[in-house]
Amino acid sequence: MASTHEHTRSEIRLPEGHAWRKAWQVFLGIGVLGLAGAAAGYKADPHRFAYAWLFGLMTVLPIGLGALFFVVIQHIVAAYWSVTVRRVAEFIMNGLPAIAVLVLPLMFVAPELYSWMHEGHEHGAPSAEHSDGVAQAEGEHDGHAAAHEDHGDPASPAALAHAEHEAEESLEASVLAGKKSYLNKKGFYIRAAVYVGIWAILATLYFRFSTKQDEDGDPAHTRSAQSLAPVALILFGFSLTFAGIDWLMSLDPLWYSTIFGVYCFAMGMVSFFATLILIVSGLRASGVLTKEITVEHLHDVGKFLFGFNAFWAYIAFSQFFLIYYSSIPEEVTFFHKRWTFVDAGNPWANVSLLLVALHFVVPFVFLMSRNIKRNTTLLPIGAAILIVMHIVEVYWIVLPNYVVGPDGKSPLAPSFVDVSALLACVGIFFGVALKSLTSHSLIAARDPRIARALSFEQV
Amino acid sequence: MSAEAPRRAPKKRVALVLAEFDTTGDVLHAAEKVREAGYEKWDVHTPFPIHGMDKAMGLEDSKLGYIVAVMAILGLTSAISMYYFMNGLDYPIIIGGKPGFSPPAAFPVYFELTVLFSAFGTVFGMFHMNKLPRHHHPVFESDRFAAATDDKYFISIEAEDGKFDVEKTRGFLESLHPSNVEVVEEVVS
Repeated sequence: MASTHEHTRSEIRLPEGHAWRKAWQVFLGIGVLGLAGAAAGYKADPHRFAYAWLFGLMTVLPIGLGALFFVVIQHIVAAYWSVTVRRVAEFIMNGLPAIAVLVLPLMFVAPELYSWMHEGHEHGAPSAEHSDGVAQAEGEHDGHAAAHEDHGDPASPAALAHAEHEAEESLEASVLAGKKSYLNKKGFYIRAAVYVGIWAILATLYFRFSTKQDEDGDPAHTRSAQSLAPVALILFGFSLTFAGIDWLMSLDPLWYSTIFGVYCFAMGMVSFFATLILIVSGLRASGVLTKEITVEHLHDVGKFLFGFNAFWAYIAFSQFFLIYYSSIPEEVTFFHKRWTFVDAGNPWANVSLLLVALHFVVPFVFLMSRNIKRNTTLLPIGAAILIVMHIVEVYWIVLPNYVVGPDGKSPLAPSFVDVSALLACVGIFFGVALKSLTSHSLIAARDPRIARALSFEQV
Repeated sequence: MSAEAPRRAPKKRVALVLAEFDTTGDVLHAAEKVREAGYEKWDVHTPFPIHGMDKAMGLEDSKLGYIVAVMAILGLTSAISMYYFMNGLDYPIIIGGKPGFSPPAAFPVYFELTVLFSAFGTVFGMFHMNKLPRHHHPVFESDRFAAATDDKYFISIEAEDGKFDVEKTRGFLESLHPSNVEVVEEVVS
């Protein structure tokens, strides 16, 4: 390993007519089809569409953000093993500018999703009849009185339920009034623009550092990438956390979980590493990168996938555990919708169990073995399981907030518009991301660390 | 010279042949040759891990992981059964409105006991597989061997090996371009 810097490896480009050259067109085609379906869904029911689109967007966004984080962290630690896989991660990261477009429908339908956007009213709640705060305050008072008087009186359960409902509504109003300095329309839109801007700019910058180096071989690009990395990481951490709060956590504005940002991060890392393994395996299966990305590199990416999945489980369980232990009403709502078996008909409880089994237990045991991580057939199977479970998980976060009927029940009913929105977001994101496969080398050919990366071996 | 009682010379026997190398490349290639020659009771001593040495020596994956896995499962089941017996059967206490045995409540205990048992499995399993504790090994009879923790690389072939023959083995090791070869003896009585 004497020669670490004088080597400049030749670029690896997809040969003309190679199947992966058309990948972006296939994805874009899927995206357009999905878009058509989603548009039809929007026409039929804008409220339902809003949840479907959020689900689609939140499935694909963490993958791109995970890629951005991975690229930045490789620069900040000056890693050499990862240089060969970094370019593929950069391709995935390069889909982030597309988020600026994919987020537009979400901005447009946001009032359908976020009840805090309505002054005084709660959208979709059929018996929201108060029009101002005074009436609600009275409602709260009446509600308490009614609850006392009606206690034990079976003749008027309807009146009791009504009073309870009113009390809940006024409670919600007072809590939301306290959160108004953060949860308001103007702030929401400005923040969204900032997040999307940060991601698009960082992704473009880091992609440019790397691809410019392919052309001129100047190590200064590596240095710039490295010195920008701490700033990039801080921006990444804040934007991801607050985007998670704005777009997912505020679906239920009374609920809060202090670990939610970390949870979103964990979700992003797992889905990104799974995607990376699938794309790298796909490229290797088609005959490219077989010598450049070896079993040694795949093994390391597999370790990351395993490790971050354990991290995801740790964070997800911590969130559940603290909420479960303290049993505070405003905290338990999240798991009340998704975990409780009290009303035995809750279908989301089964999805929760599915997540425990297939997002944690099975992949944990499966990916633990070194032999499986070093097996080029079995590792992508593990990654595929985790990608599917990532989609299920996002669905499980978003859709229980879609409430049908006066009893506040949320059915588990995946529909055409969900599939369309998912295909639209995935198709457009990866269409944009994989377009760069056709115009750039598949490895960072003139990175100063490429020679060491190519000869990398696990001890 | 004064007359001394004739001291009985200590009885010695050949324990191993030790070859010393100057570079990692030399010791790596030599290890390949030793493996190809069919020796079984031999070892390589280096100050740090050398890439590719496992393959060169023909070492199999460690079996330690299986011991750890068994211990982990044992730890998990003992934690669950302990909690089930204590809080579920023997002395149920309702805390925070949860039933006596409510599986998620004692998760930290499950986790900790799993880790504890696995750690014991790892440490003691490693001791067992490395035949530790062992206070002496004839390789330390060589004065030159101290450099194995500094800047030299050694290959030792033990006399217990079925193919061992002092002269032949010595000649074989000398053919591998070492910087020194010595026959190490140990005291038996």
